[in-house]
Amino acid sequence: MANRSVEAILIYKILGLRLPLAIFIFSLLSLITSGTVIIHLTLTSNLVEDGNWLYIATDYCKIKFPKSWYMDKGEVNENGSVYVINILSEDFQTITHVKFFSRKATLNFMRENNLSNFSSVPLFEAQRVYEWILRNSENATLSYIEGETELSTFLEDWVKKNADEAYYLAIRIGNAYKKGEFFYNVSGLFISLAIKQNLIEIIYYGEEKSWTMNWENFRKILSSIEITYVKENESK
Amino acid sequence: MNFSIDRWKIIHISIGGIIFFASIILFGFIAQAMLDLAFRTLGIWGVLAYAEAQNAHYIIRLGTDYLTAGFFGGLYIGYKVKEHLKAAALFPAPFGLTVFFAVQYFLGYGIPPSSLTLINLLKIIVAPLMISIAGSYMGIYTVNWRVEEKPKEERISFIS
Repeated sequence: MANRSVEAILIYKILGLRLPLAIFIFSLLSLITSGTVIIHLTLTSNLVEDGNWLYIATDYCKIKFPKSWYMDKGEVNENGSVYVINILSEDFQTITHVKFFSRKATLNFMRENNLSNFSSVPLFEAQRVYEWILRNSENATLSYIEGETELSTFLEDWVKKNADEAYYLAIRIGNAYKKGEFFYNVSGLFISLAIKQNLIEIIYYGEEKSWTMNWENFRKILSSIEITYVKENESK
Repeated sequence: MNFSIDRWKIIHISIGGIIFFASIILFGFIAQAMLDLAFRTLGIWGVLAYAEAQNAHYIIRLGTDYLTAGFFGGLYIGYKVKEHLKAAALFPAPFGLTVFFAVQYFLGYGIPPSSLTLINLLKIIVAPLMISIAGSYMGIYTVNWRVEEKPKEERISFIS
């Protein structure tokens, strides 16, 4: 009698739990553990520099970025394909936005916005951002950041290595938005590159303090970009 | 399978579906908050840029959201429905998931037609449905599991 009871308990219970409950807990823990292990392995296999940066080879470029920053990427198809990479700083206050336009998308973008050459793209984007901010903050003021030799030297060196032609514009928008009782300023750097007549836009934009604080990281991100593919037509 | 349909069974299965739906919302919110906290605290947001890590995140969410929601929906039905358990376990997950997708659609988070690929259908509908049904079975049978109690041992003492 006693032996039969022991047998029944072995069949129907595990660690004092009913078998279905035990299976549920085991399944849940298995899913969580396997997910965690995959995340850990992915992280460790892609760390670079001093272990605080990640390296990723996307469809269009190779890039390094801080592991604590959030990255999102994907292809958008609107009048030609545009491959977009967004990298948000740790405080989510600054964004690095990289856009690779296909030939068709480049032509459509230029035509739709009445732009005659790539040199006018940074100014167009800056004004577009300013107009968008003006809708919510009437007191916003736009000023251009000029004459910063360190910035221009760095960008010119970078451009020489990466593109046929490139243009950039840095702006500051005062009183851009209100949070609580305080007004905040934003800064933006708009870069347009042309490689084989394909437009590539790089925008570094965000709240002024965060923008300045993350500037060195942005420089490292920009320096790490290695453009690997330029789409000349819609079929790869 | 002889599964007679009476009004109360339908009501209990519907309530099970609603519990399933509410559990998805609740556990989904908790799981997302916990994962966000973990990624922020560990300073590893960037790892989510990789497809492998996104899949791992998805695997975790399958467990925390769908398996758990299915289990809780199943627990209720297990208490209320005592016959044809296998058949009863099939219903709360499809019912709750349909409500969940409908709410998502009306809130503007529906699946865009361009995303309706086979792999997305598997990830968004088929896998959650299967995991949820499995959770429902576990919930229902947790309540109705037959356990033979171990008889109390008689203590014989030679010391009076």
